[in-house]
Amino acid sequence: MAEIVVNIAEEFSKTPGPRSKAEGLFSAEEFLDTILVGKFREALESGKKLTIVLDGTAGYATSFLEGTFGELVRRVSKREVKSTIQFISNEEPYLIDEINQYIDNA
Amino acid sequence: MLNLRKLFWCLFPFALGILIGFLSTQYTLFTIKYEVDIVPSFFSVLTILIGVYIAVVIQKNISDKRVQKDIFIERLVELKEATNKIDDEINSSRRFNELNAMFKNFSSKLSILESLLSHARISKFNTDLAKLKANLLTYKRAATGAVASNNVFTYSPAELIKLNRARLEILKKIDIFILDINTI
Repeated sequence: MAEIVVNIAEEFSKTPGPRSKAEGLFSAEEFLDTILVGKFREALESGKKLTIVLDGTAGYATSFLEGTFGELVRRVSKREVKSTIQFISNEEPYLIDEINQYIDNA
Repeated sequence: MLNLRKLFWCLFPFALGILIGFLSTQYTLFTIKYEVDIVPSFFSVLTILIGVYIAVVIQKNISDKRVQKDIFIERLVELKEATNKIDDEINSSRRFNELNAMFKNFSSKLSILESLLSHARISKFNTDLAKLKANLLTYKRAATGAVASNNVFTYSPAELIKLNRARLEILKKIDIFILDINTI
């Protein structure tokens, strides 16, 4: 299956920020609105997988991860998010488990 | 000079053996038997083989295990240092990107330790690892799930108590892990 790739460090920021735009730059809200929702819809419509590359950044705050992937589940559905998105995190492998928890708990 | 000394120490045990053999035959107390008893000889050879086995195989295993233990303990000590650095940052500037980077560093170190343990095929610490991972997530959530403004996290007194509790729990788990590793 073909895939759409989003590399957060290259396409968004090497220093992802807090949850909301009001809290600071490169927030989860900004990422969701400017990149993720568009790419997610594109993947969904074309039946492709959406691969999110998490490597290359300085690190992610819990608020960013929950604000991005938890919020995406609240906007669409858990089933669609789980079946469409896959993650790559070689530098910090535990991030994937962490994100999956936010998706499950959303 | 060095070669002469080596030669001396190579020849000396032989010369000593010959001398002892010669002196022992001079006394009637010692007699040389010209037949061999099978059973005692068998046990002598067996004893020598067990001795060699202990010296070569078991000693090597013990030494390998010690090296492994030292590597694991070194990694766990690094995790303790990483925890203390996070605590220092929380108690001073609370910078957003620095704290995220510190948690990433901690998490990477923990996953390297997990790879080392699995490479060494040691599965008995899976519970310790799982607990430490869970504690790391609790600590990270308490530290980086808070509200931020101007690139700085802000914590309420209750959040600070929660953070301290999570940090102490991590340090306790690391100490238990170190104790458990010393039992292998």
